[in-house]
Amino acid sequence: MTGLPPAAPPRFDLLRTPFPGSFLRWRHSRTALQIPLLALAALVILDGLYGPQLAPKNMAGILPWVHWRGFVVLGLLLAGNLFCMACPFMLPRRLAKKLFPATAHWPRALRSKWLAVALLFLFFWVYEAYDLWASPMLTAWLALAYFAAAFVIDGFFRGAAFCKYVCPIGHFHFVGSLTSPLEVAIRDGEVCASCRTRDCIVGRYQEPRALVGLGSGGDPGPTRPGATDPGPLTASAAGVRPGLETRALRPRERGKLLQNGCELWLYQETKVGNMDCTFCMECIQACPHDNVGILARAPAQELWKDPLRAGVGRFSQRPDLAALAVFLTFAAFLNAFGMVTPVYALEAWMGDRLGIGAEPVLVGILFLLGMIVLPALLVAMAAWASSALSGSGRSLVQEGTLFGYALVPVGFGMWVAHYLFHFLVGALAIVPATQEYLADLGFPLLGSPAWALGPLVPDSWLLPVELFFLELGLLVSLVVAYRIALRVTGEAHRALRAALPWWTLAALLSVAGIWLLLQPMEMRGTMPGG
Amino acid sequence: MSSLARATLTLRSLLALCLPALLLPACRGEGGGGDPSLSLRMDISPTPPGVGPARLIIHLDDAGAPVEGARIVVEGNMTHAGMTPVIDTARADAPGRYVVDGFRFTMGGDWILTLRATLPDGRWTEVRQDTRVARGPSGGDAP
Repeated sequence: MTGLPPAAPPRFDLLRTPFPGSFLRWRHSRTALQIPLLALAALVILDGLYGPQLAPKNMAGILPWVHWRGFVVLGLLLAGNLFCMACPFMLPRRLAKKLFPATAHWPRALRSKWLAVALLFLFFWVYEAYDLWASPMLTAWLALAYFAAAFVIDGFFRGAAFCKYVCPIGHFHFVGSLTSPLEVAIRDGEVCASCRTRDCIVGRYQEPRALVGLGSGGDPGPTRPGATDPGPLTASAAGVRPGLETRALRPRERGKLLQNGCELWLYQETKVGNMDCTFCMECIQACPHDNVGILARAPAQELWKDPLRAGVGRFSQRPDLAALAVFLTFAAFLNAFGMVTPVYALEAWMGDRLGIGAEPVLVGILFLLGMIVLPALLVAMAAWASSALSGSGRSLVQEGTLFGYALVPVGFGMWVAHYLFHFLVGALAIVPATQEYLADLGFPLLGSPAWALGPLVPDSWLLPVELFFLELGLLVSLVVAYRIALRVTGEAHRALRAALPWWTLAALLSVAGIWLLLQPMEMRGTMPGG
Repeated sequence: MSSLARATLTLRSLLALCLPALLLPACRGEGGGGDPSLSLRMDISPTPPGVGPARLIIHLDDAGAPVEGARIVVEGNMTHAGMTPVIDTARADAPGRYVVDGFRFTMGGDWILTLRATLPDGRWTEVRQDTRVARGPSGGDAP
């Protein structure tokens, strides 16, 4: 008996499985995943621009709005941020990194999630106001704009600025992946503690990175373009252990870059959870000790823990992150609201009262109220009640930033319910669409289109499945709110009082979700004023 | 080879690979068209239609003369992909007049109806008509 606590059992590591572990360990596995998605993106763009402008018969109507969204939520629910891992927009972006110097620093004023919130709002508004799902042409232009934005931004700025600060889709994935069961993480902390090269963040070069101690107050400085975020975090805030402040050989002193480190500035030793992690696996490839894996963890646990996270800081000190989480939670319900019958009546009523006939303006007002004003009001009320009941004395912003993350699971439950509905109802529609596509091109290889194909499950399964995920989300939100409260109060009684307003808010959202799911659906999209 | 030259080569290779793909989808495109002398129009009863069966009355003429013996297929699609389309064939009711008695709108919202008429002599025409289907009881005129 040594008296030491028993070692924790090893966590499941996806990379150590025969498959897909062996594939994912391959250096080019990400590229191999990106190429098929790039081909699909090209198909979406080309068919969207040149194909029939009837969404159910166009790849730009089917692949993004039925399949991609369905696979995204399933991937997040069952694994992790798989779609950032396979993101096709990153291939041209990689080219941009070669073509352009990419030396500019991302503007200090934009080093937060506020821009992503604004872009997500813009995306949801365009989606609803201009019926993106019904317009293959607009969908194609959106995809093109995405490629162009990733190319230009990352061709100009250091690191993965597009992913970390801009990409609305990626930020949806980041927030959803907080509830995922897998994360990229280190296997053994002792190995990192003894590591002197930090290749996982600075990259691996021909010459080893010799370190020279600088003494107290030393600043390692950037070691290669994009290796460390010149952003709001200091080296220590980014999670680099004190005592390791050293001067490293400069990149020009180290020869060729063999392997990138993390371009989102997540230093593995102190990286926590999935926020900002694109599962790009650069750190896995860069680590000379094979000490980074894709490990199992308790889903949603990172929502109630508040350590200092590499490249992110503390959740409790990031109002922008909390705002992103709350925004996406409410957006889940507004996005679903756009598809049910009562939205017609509400828009008509608003139009009459405001004297506005233009649907984009009405949708804009509705979304501004539902995604910004209402969440701000409800979160402020919950924060006030939570602070008053627990006697914390914290400000509304502080309290809201602490607890706002508790709403993520119920919001994600609504996203899953909504997107799975479309997927389960229409997944097989890709079969006749492909048959017709090939026939139109003069290759009727698969026979006549079988238009009766579509649903994956019987109609009667849909509502129970949707309700299951919504209520599962609520349950997890209740647990997260209580665990946050317990962490900040340190006492069960006060924790209950602090959590109560957040439980109420999560339950209200869940009731709203149930009401939405019980409403008759109406697909809008072609009729003026619809 | 410099990294810039490699990148340029990669870009050119990608473009070369993509070029055939760029040309192929141009073979697809909107339906519609056909013989310009043929005219196809449709009334829906009740108007506006509601979720459930509706009667489609279709008129087909050739430069003003009613056309008999045509095969007319109606396909209804929702605006969102993934919803199973409703496909039905019209029966002749009178010279130049064809009817689908129970065209079933399965959901409220915006529908796109595509009508394709093929004449015995092989000529054809196709038109697309948007309609909004009300949720609940349909209102309007009787068939």
